[in-house]
Amino acid sequence: MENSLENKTDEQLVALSIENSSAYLILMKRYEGKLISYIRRISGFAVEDAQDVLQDTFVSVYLNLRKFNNEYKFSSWVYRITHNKTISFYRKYKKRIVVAEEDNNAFVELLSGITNEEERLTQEVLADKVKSEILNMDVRYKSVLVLRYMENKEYNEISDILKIPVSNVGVLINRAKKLLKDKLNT
Amino acid sequence: MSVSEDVLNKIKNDNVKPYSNLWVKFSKFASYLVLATGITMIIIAAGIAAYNVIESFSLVSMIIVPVLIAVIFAIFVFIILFQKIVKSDEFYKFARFKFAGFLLGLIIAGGIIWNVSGAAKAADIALQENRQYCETMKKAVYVKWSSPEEGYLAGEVQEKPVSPQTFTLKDLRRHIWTIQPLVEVNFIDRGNTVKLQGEITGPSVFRANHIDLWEGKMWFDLLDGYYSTPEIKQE
Repeated sequence: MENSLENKTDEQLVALSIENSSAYLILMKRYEGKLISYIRRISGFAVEDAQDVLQDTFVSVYLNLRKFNNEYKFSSWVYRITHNKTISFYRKYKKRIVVAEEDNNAFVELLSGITNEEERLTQEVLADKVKSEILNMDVRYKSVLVLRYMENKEYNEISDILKIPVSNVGVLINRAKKLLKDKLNT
Repeated sequence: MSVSEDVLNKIKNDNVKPYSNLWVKFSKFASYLVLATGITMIIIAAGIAAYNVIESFSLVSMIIVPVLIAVIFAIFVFIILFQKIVKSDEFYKFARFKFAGFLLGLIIAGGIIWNVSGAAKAADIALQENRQYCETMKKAVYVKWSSPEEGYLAGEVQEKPVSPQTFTLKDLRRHIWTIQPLVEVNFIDRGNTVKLQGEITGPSVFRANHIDLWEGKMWFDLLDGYYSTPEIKQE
């Protein structure tokens, strides 16, 4: 049974999940790792806090399965809910949040998207700084950078997740890159 | 245990079910209803304000057009602003329902501040003062151009002047005069409002040595509307 569910698309699993919670388990497993990383990358949460946010997200997604619009990708929808939950959790528990250690490789990847060849030589050294600068950025800039360079999302997906026009995605990414670059150069 | 399994257990143990279609539709409808209520309240408030201004000033002809244009313009501005907010970078942070509630709260809070702060009273006083000033102006204009014995007469041309060049005119008091013009009157047509300078030469006969079209038809309508009310006619 589970094997046959594994082969289904996200959108098919959504339809099945309404009646069959096992189908929802497959859907959750598909996104668990990605979403935990996303939460931590835009918030800096420790794993435990990120798991709390994700748990809340998954329950919310399950309750609202009938609201899912098939015109959009499920991944965009679930990222959007996760994003909103993370921001809301971040605001609520700002004071007690401990910024966690994150895998520097992801930040090196991000860096490679915004720096030239010569600058990449020092990427490893810069990774820590990048991470701290990104976490201190405005949530709009932080989100587009993470979604584009760490989650490898296309512009239209970022547009769906953040609910902003596609044309604004490019503008935001450029501004965020410039901002980050300026901060790294100071 | 992974988060996914944790959530699945919670779903099973608490017997959690996705919201029903009915609930989804109802919540969507409710959010639109709140939103529509907020927008309607703004439009009604703007309409009442515009109506009060028009009523208070008796400016039916003079300002109804600009006021209506202003109201329509304000509605357009509101719609554009609303669209701009909804499509803004920040809007994704708001749920539609929350935004609708926020809008409604803002309108109610704005109304309370408007009244409690005394701004409403101040606006009312300013309106009354302007109303008196406006009425004084209207009266002065009326008195001047309703004094044929002093050489000033104004009114509406009842027929296009033909040879011999006399025409009839209904003055601001709705009295009919025969006008004997001493100047060219080709530019006058039936229905025009004119200002005459000259003298009375007989019963209901006025000889005009200077004729002008009334600049701005609205002024005449204003006077017409003002003096056709019974209490003012008695003055």
